[in-house]
Amino acid sequence: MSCEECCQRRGLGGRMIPVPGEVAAGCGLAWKTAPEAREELAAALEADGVPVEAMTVIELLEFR
Amino acid sequence: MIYLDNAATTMRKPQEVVDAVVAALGSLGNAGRGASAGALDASRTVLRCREAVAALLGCPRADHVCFSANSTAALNAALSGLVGPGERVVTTVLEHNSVLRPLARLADERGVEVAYAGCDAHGFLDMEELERLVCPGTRLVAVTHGSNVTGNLVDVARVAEMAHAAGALCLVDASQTAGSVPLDMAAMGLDVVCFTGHKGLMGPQGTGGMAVAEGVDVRPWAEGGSGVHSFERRHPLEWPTRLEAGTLNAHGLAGLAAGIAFIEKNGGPSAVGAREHALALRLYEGVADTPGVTVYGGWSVAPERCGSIVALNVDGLDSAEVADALASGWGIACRAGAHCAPLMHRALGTERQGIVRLSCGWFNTEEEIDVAAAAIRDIATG
Repeated sequence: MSCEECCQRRGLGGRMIPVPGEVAAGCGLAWKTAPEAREELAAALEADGVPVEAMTVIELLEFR
Repeated sequence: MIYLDNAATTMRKPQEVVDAVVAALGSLGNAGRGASAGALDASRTVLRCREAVAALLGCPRADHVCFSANSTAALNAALSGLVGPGERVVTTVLEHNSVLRPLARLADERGVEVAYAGCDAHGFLDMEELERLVCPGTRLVAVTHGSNVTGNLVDVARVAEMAHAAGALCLVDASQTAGSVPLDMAAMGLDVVCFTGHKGLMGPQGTGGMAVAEGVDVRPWAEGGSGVHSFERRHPLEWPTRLEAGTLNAHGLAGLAAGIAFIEKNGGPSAVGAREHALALRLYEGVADTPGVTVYGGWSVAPERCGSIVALNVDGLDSAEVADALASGWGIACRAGAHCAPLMHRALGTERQGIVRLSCGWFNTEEEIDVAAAAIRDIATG
């Protein structure tokens, strides 16, 4: 949730989703955003001291 | 009713706390369990409360604030997670059973050596004895920030210095002080601070936790549902999940965050504490010279080191009898008996009589204090 707070404060797009099984088995949360936002996101999270477990590029369905 | 049992719980809560809990009950899912709107709102609520507690206690990392049901649960988890077999712990006679009993269990089950520093005639911690007891090889110094019997405060920054000089950690029980006495973990060098949400922080019962300095390893006490890493055999070690097995009380934490916001709105712990202290001083001054009244604690010698409690007895009357007279005659709610602090009573010589504890809170008025003082004078003079 610190990730969400950081991104919203900085106006970075994205949203929380259930962590996809391709990223981690089990349950949990992940921040979903476009692959091209990766560098900006990483810099923002590092600047705010938000720990990152992993960053992964995967294809996800978007229904609406 | 004149409510003077704020050391047990702040029964009168800010309306903002009530509103926050009611709103949360109607809207929050389970924090950390999925990404539905309700679940995310619950997670946001918990995060906001974590950040508020971290700011209040001077804990540099909000993710090192771990919630539990109350201070007792936090103290059990902290003591069990910090102290290994055969290690040495130094504590004090001021402590509540929420420290004494977990340590007794560790002594029985892990062979932990426990030493107890005493107090002076006014109930102030004997810092020289504490310093003697905190020798190299000590793993932990566990000390209250304020006695729940007398209200006497402890210089926990100095205790932390002693602990660190001996290579030990310093754990502080802030159950009686969080919200009304300033604490700054980083500046004071405190390693673990345990708190409850329903007293000075003015939140709901069922909230509490611990704040842990970076680099201090508190092993998980309870294991179970975490919302992450479900296929791992043991509970995850990441913060704050390592100390938060099971569903959090997000409804209560919504109220706790509102309680902390109320404190900050009213000037923070120093301003809130100053008001409560002034009320207690007024009560003390109203009864101190009454024949037959014995006041315990440090009011007569160092009022600046007292909290917001006036602890007293009337002649040889049982404390329960006095508390009942206050309730039935004047509608005053206070607490008699031993207050779960047996060593404090042994030190004060009040094991049989108990103590009448009147504890002031933010919502008390000077008029209420004057009624209470007059009531005690009436009881004492017959």
